[in-house]
Amino acid sequence: MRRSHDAPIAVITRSKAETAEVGHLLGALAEPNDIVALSGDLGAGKTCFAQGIARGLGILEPVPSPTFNLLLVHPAELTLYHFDLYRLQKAADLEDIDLYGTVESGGVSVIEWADRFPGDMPEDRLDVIIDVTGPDERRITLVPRGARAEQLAAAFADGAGALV
Amino acid sequence: MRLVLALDTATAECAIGLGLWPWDDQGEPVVLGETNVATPRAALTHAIPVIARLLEDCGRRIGDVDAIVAGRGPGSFTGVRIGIATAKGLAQGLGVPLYGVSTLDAVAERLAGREGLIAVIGDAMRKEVYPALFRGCGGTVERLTPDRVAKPAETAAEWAASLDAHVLLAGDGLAKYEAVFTEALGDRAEVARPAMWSPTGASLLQAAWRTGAAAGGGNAAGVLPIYTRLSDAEEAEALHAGRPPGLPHSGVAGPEGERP
Repeated sequence: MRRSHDAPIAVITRSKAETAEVGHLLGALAEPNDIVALSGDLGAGKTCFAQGIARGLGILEPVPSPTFNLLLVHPAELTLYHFDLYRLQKAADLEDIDLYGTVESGGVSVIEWADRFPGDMPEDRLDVIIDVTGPDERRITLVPRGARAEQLAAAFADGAGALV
Repeated sequence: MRLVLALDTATAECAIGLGLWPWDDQGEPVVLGETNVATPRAALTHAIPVIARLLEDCGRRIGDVDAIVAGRGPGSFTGVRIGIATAKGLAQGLGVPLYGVSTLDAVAERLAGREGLIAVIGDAMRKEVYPALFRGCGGTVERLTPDRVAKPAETAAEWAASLDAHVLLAGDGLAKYEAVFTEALGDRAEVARPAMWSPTGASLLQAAWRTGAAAGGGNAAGVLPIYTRLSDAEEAEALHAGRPPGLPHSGVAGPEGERP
């Protein structure tokens, strides 16, 4: 794993395990009401990254993809709200699944396929974009949107330095 | 007297009340007991046990209940649904009437002893609020504005420009936006104690009585959630099912402008 120097905060990983490790680091830094908005193609490793976040939150139970459930809740000291917006048709569906109420309820929210509704995501959030750069290689870019997300991204950058 | 069970789970507070209502509007309603517990995002697991315990404490059984009152929101989407669904299930199962009351009316009711303007500001999430104005007079409250969703700063500016009297503020939206309203309203604003920001079992019963809920037919199908931000699933479902007569086009109560 190495830190790339061109993007604001970007990390290159070379395996699923490394992608999960980056998620783990982020999860360990999370605070109540933090929101991580994940985007990337099918198979890029969004769920793998989310599983890493879950481990970072101390969640030991399996963390499957929420594609069919839309939301899976993993209770913990900081509860993980794991969303998957892939099957939603329109932005109004976000109200129906109570996205906005859930992200403000004191846990940590991870939203897969956040880029399906870019204008409707919560304002203060950390966008995490996973690009497929090779068969096993991924570029993970963090783009903070809002004050708390800036803090989280900065803490991540400090921690990620140690991973290089 | 009719034994009435009231519940509201639209806020983080699960409010359950048990009371007696006269059969006609000649007598006065009585509150037998209430339980109000903070159950953020957990109303689903708490509502029924809390109801069972309250009934037991009051020496009543669920089969004795003659009518149900449900807080219709506005509030948390999930919370409103849990409350309405639970109330409908109970009313259907018991074969008793179901009456609805706005959660904001039940909050205003808690300040019924006060004279003058009362502003209830519910948290609508997404940096929005559910603002409603009431007037306290002679121990009761009167609603002045309908349920709606709005930006806190815009509402505060609107009230600062239009209200020229003392305003008592309440509602769980103040947890986030108290300063927005107190700064805009200045000397006119007084903030109620946070303990007065949520509905209670007793205030639900009282607000439902005051708003004439009991005069309605009590048809469970007609008691709708108040979402204000229109819920598409509910709308589609109501249209698909064919809506009962007299209900809004959408099948969901909300501000006129947002109905299709």
